[in-house]
Amino acid sequence: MADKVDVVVVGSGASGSVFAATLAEAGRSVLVLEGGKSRTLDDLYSSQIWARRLKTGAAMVEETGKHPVWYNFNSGHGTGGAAMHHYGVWPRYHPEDMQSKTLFGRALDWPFDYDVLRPFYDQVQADVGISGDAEAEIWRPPGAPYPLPPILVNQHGEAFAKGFEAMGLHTSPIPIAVLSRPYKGRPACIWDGWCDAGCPTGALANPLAVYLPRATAAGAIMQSESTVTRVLTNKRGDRATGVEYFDAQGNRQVQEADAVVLAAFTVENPRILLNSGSGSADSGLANSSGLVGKYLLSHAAIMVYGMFPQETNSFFGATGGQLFNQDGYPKYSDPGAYGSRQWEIGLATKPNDLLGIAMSRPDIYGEALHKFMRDAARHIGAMVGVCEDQPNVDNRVELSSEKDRYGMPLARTVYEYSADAMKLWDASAKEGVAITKAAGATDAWHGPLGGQHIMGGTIMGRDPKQSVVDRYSRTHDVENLFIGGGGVFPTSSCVNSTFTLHATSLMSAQHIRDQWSEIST
Amino acid sequence: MTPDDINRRKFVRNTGLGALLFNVAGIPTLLTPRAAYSKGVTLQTLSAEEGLQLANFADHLLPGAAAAGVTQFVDQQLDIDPQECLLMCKYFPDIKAPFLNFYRNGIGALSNASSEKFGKPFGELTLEQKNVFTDSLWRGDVSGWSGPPPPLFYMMVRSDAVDVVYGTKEGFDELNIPYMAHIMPEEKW
Repeated sequence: MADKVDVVVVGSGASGSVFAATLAEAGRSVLVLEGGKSRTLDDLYSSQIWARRLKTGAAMVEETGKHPVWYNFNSGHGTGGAAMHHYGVWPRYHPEDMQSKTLFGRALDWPFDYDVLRPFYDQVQADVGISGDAEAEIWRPPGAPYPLPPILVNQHGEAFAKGFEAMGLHTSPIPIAVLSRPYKGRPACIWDGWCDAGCPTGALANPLAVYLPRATAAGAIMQSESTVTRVLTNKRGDRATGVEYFDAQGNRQVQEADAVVLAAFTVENPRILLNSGSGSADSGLANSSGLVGKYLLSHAAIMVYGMFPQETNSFFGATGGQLFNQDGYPKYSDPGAYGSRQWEIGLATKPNDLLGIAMSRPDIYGEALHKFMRDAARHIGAMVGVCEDQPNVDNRVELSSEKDRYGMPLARTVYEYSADAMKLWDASAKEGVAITKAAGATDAWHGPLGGQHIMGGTIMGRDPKQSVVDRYSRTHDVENLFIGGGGVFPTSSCVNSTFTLHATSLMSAQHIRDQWSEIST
Repeated sequence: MTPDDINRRKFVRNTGLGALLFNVAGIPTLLTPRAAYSKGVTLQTLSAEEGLQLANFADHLLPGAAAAGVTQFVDQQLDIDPQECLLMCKYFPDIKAPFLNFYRNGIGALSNASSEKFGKPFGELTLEQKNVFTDSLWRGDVSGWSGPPPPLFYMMVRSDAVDVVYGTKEGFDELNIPYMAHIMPEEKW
């Protein structure tokens, strides 16, 4: 058994890296256990083919229900986790997203309001350097101005902007964690459009660019190929004593710690908790509410494409887009549907992979496909609509009867988008095609329903009977066990989850730092 | 140190090359799929007949895919850890590792359904017959098909073809767009 540490962090992704940096810099001994392989920035080849190594490929999750959440595409494996291939679109949740129950009698409330999270948003954006224009982003909640000016807008963004304007809709520069100027020793982006393959320059705020270097500089130890299977507790089950994991050689190990942070991704966290029961194994750990795994959330996403007569040069830019629109954010913007939606406009698009040029028209093949590729390479435009889904206790992560090589049950997801989300998606489909036509595209079309971002499953709340963790992401049942990541979100909003999970993780990590004597004993 | 001295996958990772490790006459050799095709590298996971069927189908979906080494690419990737796999099929919830099962069943279904409808394997059909058959695959209404969902198999093979033809530096050049790599995989991958 290795030496006991103050804090063991499970997972080295967006959330785990924030916990590790914050606690190591506070003088805590921190061990980060990463299930995947070790990775450095030098491993990030500019290739949509090699980029697939960043995503999960093993059969770790069974996806059931009417709609998949696209676990393998949305998750990550190895140092940095899913955030290594994220696009860095970082809008904030709006105040109403956190008070839906109180304001509208719908969905769930968070255990705090926006003003509580606001300073953590501000601190994170100062840490990582978000580019944007707070004034032009007319929908933006209160907060410090962006530390960096907006990113480049080229012919691609300009083409779509005309369509939005013609439809009476507003656009602003996209808020994005990609550097428009050098910042804190990191270089500005050169707009090569390889964000999805992982950014090796550090211009995009992935964990290897910002928080993991801080963590290791402060003494945190990174240990890869260490798959955590259980959280271990005292006999009463109210204090974590460490974790069980399997090392690179497949040997069972125990790591003791005074506090445990589970930041192993939205689906893996409940999987580990449900596998951690002792004495009442059926219900798992930290599950007196019966809600571990419940209220899984995803965004209903739609890709919209246009073929423009002028060159768009969409191979250039940021994968996350250039411009932004949240005119559909008010919860009752669309008739008959509750929820928010947004547009990310002008996505840098490469020839291949799931969101590439060829897959935008999967029906075309043969010589016609060659022609389409040649035409589209310089003339296609792409944007994505993101739609809120509503929390539903039946959408869940549970344990499968199938087991992995360590004998741990696989996770099974059960998911179906709400009727509200589907109406928002339909509205986005119609609006997106109309915008693209209004922009002057000679052809405009949209893709199928896609799942973007995965949240929920270990939601936060005030009532221990109605939630898994408290406002500081501490489990109600186990006083020194914390959950990191989008799994703690009770509502999805329609915005990309990475900024907000950085903010909730920072809030939790600072709480651990400030209350260490109480938490550690 | 020779490639034989070290773990096969580790070699690919540590050299940092974009080329893949192919077995050439028993010697692990770094090659692009196109070079592996031109050298006639023996397939490691698919049978020669399966490889031929796959090449014929992929080449119909995107002419030039066979010479770009689509079969060699797929075959080589089916032989490695699914976590490290570079095929797009790894994203899809309905395609479980090991991915060889998906391809083997799909190729078999393609061959059987083509033979049932036209009395010949896909590679021997006329262009018009291939188009009729491919359209029915995309629509998902193929009689005699017993394998993965036809549109899913169609999309995955099509993606593999696009990968080897247009997902490379040469492919970008062909499209007259700049590659702009931060870290360029060697051998133009």
